[in-house]
Amino acid sequence: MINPYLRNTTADYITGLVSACEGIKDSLVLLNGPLGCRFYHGYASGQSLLKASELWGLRGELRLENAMEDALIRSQYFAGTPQIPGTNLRYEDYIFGTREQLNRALNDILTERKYSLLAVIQTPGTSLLGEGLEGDLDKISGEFHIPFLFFENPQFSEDPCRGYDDAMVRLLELLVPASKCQKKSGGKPKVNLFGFHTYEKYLEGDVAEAERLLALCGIDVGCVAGANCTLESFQSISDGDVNVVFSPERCRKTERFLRKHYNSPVFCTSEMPVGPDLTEKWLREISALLHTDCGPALLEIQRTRARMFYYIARFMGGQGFPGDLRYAAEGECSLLCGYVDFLSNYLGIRPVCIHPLYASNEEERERLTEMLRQIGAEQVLDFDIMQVRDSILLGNANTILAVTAYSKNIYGIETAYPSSGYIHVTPKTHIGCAGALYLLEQILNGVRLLRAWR
Amino acid sequence: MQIAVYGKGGIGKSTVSANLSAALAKNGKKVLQIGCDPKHDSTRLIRHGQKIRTVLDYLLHTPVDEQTVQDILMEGYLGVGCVEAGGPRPGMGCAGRGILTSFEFLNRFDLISHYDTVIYDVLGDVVCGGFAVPVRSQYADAIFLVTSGEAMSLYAANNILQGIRNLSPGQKRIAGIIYNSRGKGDTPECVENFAAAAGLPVCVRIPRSTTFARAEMEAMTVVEQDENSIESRIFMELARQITNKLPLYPALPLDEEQIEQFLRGEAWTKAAGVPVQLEKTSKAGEKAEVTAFPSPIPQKRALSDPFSRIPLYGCAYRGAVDLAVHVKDTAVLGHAPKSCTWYAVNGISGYSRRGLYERGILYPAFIPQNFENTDITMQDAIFGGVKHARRKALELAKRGAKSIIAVTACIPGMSGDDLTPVKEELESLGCEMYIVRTDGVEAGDYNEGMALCYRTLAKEAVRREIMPEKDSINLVYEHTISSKTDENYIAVKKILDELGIRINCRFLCASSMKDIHGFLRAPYSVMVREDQLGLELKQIFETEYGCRFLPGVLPRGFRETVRWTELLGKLYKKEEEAASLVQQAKMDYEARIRKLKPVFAGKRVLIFLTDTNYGWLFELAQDLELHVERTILLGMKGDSNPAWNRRFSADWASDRRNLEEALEILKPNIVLLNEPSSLESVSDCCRLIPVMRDPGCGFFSGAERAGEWVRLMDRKIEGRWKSDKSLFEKYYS
Repeated sequence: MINPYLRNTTADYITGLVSACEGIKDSLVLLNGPLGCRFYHGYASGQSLLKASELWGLRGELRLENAMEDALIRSQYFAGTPQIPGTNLRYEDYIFGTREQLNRALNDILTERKYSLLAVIQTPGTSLLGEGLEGDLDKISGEFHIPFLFFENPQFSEDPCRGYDDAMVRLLELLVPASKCQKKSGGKPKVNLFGFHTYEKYLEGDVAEAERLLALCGIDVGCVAGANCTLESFQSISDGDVNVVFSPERCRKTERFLRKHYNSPVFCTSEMPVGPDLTEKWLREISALLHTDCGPALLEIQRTRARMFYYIARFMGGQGFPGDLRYAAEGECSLLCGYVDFLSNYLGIRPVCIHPLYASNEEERERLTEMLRQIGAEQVLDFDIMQVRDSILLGNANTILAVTAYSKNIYGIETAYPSSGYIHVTPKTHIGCAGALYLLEQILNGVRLLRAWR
Repeated sequence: MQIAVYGKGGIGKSTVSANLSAALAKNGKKVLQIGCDPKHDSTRLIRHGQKIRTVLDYLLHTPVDEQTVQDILMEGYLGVGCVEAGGPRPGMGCAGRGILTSFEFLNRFDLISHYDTVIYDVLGDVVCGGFAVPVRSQYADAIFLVTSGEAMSLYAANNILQGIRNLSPGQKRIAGIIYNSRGKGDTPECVENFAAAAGLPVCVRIPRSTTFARAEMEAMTVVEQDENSIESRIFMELARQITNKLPLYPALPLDEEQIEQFLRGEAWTKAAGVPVQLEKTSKAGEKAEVTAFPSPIPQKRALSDPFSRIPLYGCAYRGAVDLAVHVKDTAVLGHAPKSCTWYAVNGISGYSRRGLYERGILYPAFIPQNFENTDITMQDAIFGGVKHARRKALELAKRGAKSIIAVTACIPGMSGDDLTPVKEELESLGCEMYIVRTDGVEAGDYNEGMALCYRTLAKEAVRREIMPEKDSINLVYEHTISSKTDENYIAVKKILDELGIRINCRFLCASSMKDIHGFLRAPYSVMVREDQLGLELKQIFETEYGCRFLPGVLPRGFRETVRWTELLGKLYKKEEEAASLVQQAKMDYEARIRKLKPVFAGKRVLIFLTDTNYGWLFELAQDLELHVERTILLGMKGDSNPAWNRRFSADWASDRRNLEEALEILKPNIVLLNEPSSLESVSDCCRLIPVMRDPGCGFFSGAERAGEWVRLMDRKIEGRWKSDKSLFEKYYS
């Protein structure tokens, strides 16, 4: 009756705020609202991270030394899950105010446990109250010696990119004052990475691959903002020689802020380095900016190309991928540019649907449109993904599920959360050399299954 | 400097604000006046009656990327900048949130920094946090209270002081009182005494005068109309005071009893707390010795009482939505911000995602295809979201929805959105609407939301005019999220099919609205499970519709199922079919048990349970010839289920230590327990077998569970991985 695609399956502004703030290691992100507002985050947060807090429930000989106390984990704020607590508000708090309960929660939690940063986020309900809680937070911040951020407006139905971006700017304002900018001279050039967040599907693998390839170019990575970096690491952002922004959709304000307040140039990755060509382009440009030698990294890309050639030729033969094979993809524009370049321009597969998610600006959409135009496929932009049949589908598990409900001949490749539940022990990625190989592996197996299902 | 002018509605704040702005502008200041009253007439006198577009109206109708501050900033007398925040229509939405939004907009353009002096004209009483925004520390440096000598005006002034004290305890931010005389019944003494009691000066006294009325008729301030008038000079004097740096005072409101005494004319001194007769000559601002009120912030404390508030697990919106999506042919309309729906959909679809991945099965009920959300915006929160919900509901009806279940979240509850007119409009279009008014957390937690949805549909969706059909039955109150639901359904359906009984309605699990309408078609219903809500639901069906229910719940284990089948045979006059079915099942069951006995017979068992209703387990233990050494039940004696307690005795334990002690003494071969986390580990010669409360229904559910235990009887191999805990802590903790 209703086409469910994208109606309820994209994240919200609060998710963006949470993922950015939670990206600082040992931060306390507290939702000032009913527990119902925090349950999703309590369970879903940091899935792609290896976090000790996930093991705090272990008892006996396996109990971790730094585990949260039982009394706190079972308290009214955490209710059994050790992340993203809430203030456990009732409806009457909407009438009489939340100050007292917020103070109680913070005093209780901060007395019991040491955190590096406090972020208090108002939920939609509490944001309507307009309570001036900064004074209380300021007092608590002084008492417990912890920096704090207060997000008063959860922006209701806005998308997560804006939430992430707003939170990142606030974090920079709070923790990295422009006046503290001090570059070290000599040594290897150092870059900071922006645009990653804790809801990233392949966070660990993405970061590891980016660091590995940059290291091959003689470039160190300082802080990876939003990816469980320490407070100290975040505070040293101003030491970086270049700030590299991934997923510019999430970092519009951040990018402007970095340019305005710090002396380092900003490198914006408008096409995610998916596949060998964009990876090579990305590394060459950064190396040029920092005057380093990217030769070893290019050699690595050549080896990757050779390996991919073998597998494509062996399993697809001289004709390459079947002419009737199609793929559909959803995601932010920069990521879609990466997928289109790899799947269409490199592997030679035609797209059937390319669906940008979240608010992409004109420039970003135009870049994607141009890329599609060059392969004569501009009509697939925004094509109804629910109409896709007999194709490889790159998207989150909700989309894969919804499309599968209409068509059995779909091979889903998960690119974002929520996931189907497959447990990744080895860190995976879709970017760089490792990402190209993994994605090719998924596609080759997908093609086999699609053929078999026919 | 930023100045807020507060006072009771109708007391003359806007007149005072406008004249003060004019006087300050005349003194050479660059002034901005911001009206914070939804009726948006604060700057009328400055603008000579010309209305200006309010910030909220502007935000409502202008795309974000086209918004500029110039569009809502107008100039008036002597270049005074004029802004009106605006607000929703009376009785709709949330005006306080409107003020917040307006201020966020002004901050975006850093408007305030362009002026020497900013005057905030704020609505009467401090009724909610939104109206207190100008009082926040980043805004008003000084606050004036406008009051007359009338009781309610003073009462409002005291309320405002309370609000200010709550927001900035101990801070000196009150400039004083502007006494706006109302004439008859308004004595200056009252204001002076109140000011003295609150430790504030009366900065100026504005007499009742026709000059104001004349100026208002010409839509201008008295300052502009006649700068030499007495009234004009008063405002010039006030402007002078402001320019010469105002002394500021803390907010020290009277408490409820004190203000009551005061208004009754029983004046008092705060320091002593004893009513005394105040001298008429007491001067404002001279009462320095006042007792400071205790800070409203609670004292710091450790986590002494973590359960001081029982956690509310989930919210009612989520519970109601989770249930509503199970009505197959019905659209669910969430009236909520995107956040609520995003969390709900991920929760619902999680089961389906895992189902597809783990079992290769698609569960359509958990792919919410008919779930629409209003994605409430800030505008909806401020102005009310009924229009938005109506549009969505009509779209659904247009797309063919014949019934809609609308579930409301916190924001509509706070904004007072009433969807009843939408329901009536839809009905005239042939589309039913059921409103589940959870209002987010107002209705309570997740279970309360489910309960509300159950109740609403049980009371409103069941049609009374349906004629009964003899060989049919309803299943009531199945688990909607449980891997057992399908298994149970298949097992019970098999029995019913054998007896020739049709399942009429599954209330509410994979059912259609048509099934619910026809609930009364079945002569009998059976509860799938029974708890407090289940009982309530049963009562609704019994009292509202005279429904008849089979005793108990769906049967678990062999013997219960035999009794249940025989009862069905009797009720539906199918005794022969029932007897034949039981006979066949008995043979199959005995064959299964014969296979299992060699593994279990004679083994010594310790049973540890945290609740009752495990009759099936004891019957199974008996059939397998397990030797039950002891049963420990965590809880209160008397909680027992007589179905099994007549045959098996149990010890009631107060905590899990009793289990450890019994383990030490009895050294059993098997521990059967329903909460595996109750035991850290057991010795090599003991096997730990977790049992579930619901083993599934039907003749063979118990035997099937025992079949799963067989593998657990093998000796467990202890892996070496545990010794790597220290490495985890070294590298990742």
